[in-house]
Amino acid sequence: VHPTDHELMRLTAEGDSEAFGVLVRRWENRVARVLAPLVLRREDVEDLRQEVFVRVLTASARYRPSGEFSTWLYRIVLNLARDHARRRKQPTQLLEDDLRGSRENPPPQEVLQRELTAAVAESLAALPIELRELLVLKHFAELSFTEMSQVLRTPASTIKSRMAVAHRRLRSELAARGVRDAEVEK
Amino acid sequence: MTCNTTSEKLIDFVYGELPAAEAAAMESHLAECDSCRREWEDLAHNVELLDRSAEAPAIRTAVEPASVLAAARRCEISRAKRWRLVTLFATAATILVAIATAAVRRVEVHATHVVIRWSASPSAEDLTDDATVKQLREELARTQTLLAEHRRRLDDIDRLGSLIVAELKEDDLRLARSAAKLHLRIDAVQRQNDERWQAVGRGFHDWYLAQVTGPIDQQTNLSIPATAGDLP
Repeated sequence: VHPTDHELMRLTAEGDSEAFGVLVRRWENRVARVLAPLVLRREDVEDLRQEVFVRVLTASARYRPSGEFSTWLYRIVLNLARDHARRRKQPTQLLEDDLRGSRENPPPQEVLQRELTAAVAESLAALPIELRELLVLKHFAELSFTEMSQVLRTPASTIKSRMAVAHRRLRSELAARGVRDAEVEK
Repeated sequence: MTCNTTSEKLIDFVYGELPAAEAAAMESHLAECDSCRREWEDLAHNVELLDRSAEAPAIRTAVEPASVLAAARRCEISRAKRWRLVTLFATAATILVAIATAAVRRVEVHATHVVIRWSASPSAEDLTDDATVKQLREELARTQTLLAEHRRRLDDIDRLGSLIVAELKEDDLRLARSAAKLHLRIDAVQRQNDERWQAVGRGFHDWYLAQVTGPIDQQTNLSIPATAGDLP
């Protein structure tokens, strides 16, 4: 039987470090997946991911299972990512390794995919964080608009219209990096 | 005919969040409206690219729960320290104000503050009555117990006082400055009390100095005018 996130949070608040470990294992990859396009640098992703769980732990006593755990968790993730973006005055220079992987002589198809992923990552990185986080919550956290509206505490209709703006901005950033429709064809 | 399809509608459509009937209507509309179709194609292209890049694994290393626990403990300690400082200074202020006055009658200890009620010192007439003297002694004993407990808290203030100077940042220095305003001079009031309480057979002044002023004197020289009356 798998305990729910709410149960794990209750046990964590009671000082059960094993329960906390289960919660970390369950969410660490998803947290990293959302953090990666928001903070970009691998080392920052690792640091902030740890910080997310520190916040989860220190807030566990005050946690009330009123909504989805994921909504609460992603709110922590976004707050940390926004703070991080504010602290970093200079736009982040993405490390070549962070984008394209460091494996030597990968197969040609993998090279193409990596190039495309890198171009998407760079285009996303060029977007202001307020727009970027919408695309990230939708595609990397795979949230519905209702869930996004809970995380961002913003009406879904507002999110959708901002989402349209985000897509337009992304489109022009992608075009600037030479990504065209043809490259999506399989 | 003008197209009044909104961007939000298209967003709903491209993410499959449009109800079936509306989705069907949108499909027919896209077949006819070039501008909407172009926008939809652009959106679908972005969605495809984003979904594909989201598949890429982000980080392969694992979070170490033990290091999270350690980091959380550090956070908790620093937060608790800060909160304790505020509480302790508030407690110290209350005790000092109370003690600077005539005769303590009752001390109530609450989680974050202390309520001390007092009345006039015993009169010469009171002290001729054995029952009154007995009652006063009992009250004093109770007060001593309670204040001894606060003596421990005041010791904490000493330690935390040096901690403030050593560790805390700009914001906390403001707290330290407020604490410095609590400097109290109590000698005159205490000498007066001493004379009165000696009649009860106990050197309240000496006891008070031993219990309370020690740690305060080392750290501060608080100065608050002594007033009579009930503390809230």
